[in-house]
Amino acid sequence: MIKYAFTGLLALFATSVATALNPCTTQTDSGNYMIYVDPVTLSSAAANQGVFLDRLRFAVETNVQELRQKLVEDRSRVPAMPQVVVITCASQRKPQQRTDFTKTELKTLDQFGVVLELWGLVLDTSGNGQVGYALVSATSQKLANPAIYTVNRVLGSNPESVQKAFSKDPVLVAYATIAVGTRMFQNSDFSSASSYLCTGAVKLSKVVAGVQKANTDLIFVTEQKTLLSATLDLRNKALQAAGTPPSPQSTCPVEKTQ
Amino acid sequence: MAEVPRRPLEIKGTLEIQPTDIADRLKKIEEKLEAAKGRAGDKDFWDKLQASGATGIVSSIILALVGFMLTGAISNSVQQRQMELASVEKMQSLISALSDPMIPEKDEDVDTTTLAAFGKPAVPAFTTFLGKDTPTSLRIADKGLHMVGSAHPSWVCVHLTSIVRNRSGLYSWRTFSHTLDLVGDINCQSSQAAVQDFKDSTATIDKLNAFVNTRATQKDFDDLRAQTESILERLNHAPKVSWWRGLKRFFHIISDDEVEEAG
Repeated sequence: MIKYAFTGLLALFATSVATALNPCTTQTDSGNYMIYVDPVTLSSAAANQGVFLDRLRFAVETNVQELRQKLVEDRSRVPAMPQVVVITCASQRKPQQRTDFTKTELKTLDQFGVVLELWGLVLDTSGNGQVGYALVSATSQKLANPAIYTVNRVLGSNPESVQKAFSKDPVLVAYATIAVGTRMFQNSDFSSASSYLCTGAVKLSKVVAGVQKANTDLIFVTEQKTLLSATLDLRNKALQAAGTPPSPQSTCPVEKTQ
Repeated sequence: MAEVPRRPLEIKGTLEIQPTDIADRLKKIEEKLEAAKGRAGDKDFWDKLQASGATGIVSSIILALVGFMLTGAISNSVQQRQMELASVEKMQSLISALSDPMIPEKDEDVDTTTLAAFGKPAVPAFTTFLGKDTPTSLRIADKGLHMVGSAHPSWVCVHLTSIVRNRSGLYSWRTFSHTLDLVGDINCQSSQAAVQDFKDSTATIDKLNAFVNTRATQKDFDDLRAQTESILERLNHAPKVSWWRGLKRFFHIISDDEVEEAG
């Protein structure tokens, strides 16, 4: 009796230590690069969350189309090159803040082949929103600790405007490319990694230059400069590991940021 | 017929009476009896006990004690088994709920905690979750085995060791990864040889992929390799079980209500 009471007490004590996010999907990775898309949190209860999520998924698919095409082309060089898969999460999965992505959560995502998670998309009645990006592979590679960012955006209040606002998301494209490049580095495909990391760094530097010019979000700019620098460092490591000698072509043409 | 006249006959001589062997034997018996009487004062405890008839009483008491102990042990064993069976019935609904890969986190938390409160009988269920290889099942197994392992580490360690030693292709590399984490966290000193053997068996990615049911990528292999080395290091430097505790465990005399020590 004492034994069971003690075990129960320990169990109750242990539960108060950590909480986790609700599961996203039952789909397994099968070796591909997975991008999770979490549901949109809407201020209006009447709005159809399913329709919003469907449009958002379509917008994300559009953004990673170029990346997918490049991966297909690279199969001539690396036949087993994985592909990017976009997965919409179950409605119950709703990360609210950066700290919801605990070390354990990020480790689990990393182990199950998730490279990026689009989360925390919140829309208020006036159409202002916030969107979060969790770069899982970049975090496991310690490009940032953690590589989780939020951006404030004007998205509109109906599914069409959300889709339109997301149809060309340079931040998402840059992050997806960096996330894939990082995973390639981790899988010792250094030649491909250097190329994707450079492409990602170039795209990110353009985003940083744009935000810097608008002078809207200084914290975001600082964070992205750190990420950009770490990405370029990793790209150099990939070049060294691939045995590519330094040349003008091996320099990544990133935009200058102050 | 003519009658013969009677004539007295006179025999002259001596009659010597010799003592027979019967007399000798009688004498010897008398001597032995005398000697036996002399020895009567030298009887040992056992002779006296036997002579007093106490052996019967003692053997009856011993028999009664053994009978009592055996009955107690069997009765305890039957009661334990009945309790376990009752636990299984109670655990069934919890296990069923936790088997849903999309179980909400709140329900998962409550059900895992409740299942862990059953203690030792819940360990096989959590071990099964560890082998399922979904994010939810691995999380449930981690949490549950940590909880039960706090009170019964050696019990949990036995199950973890059997997973680490498995080369049948039943488990994914993620199951091994989570098992190794648990071995380190619970400080399973008894698993040390199994972890070393696992390290030796996974020297290359091909060797690892030869016995896992989900192929590991280079990154997965590198992570698992680093993790195995780290866990071995941790086990080597963790506090060891005291010799007295080890002796008690060897003879299985550890009390059921006593919280076990890791190792």
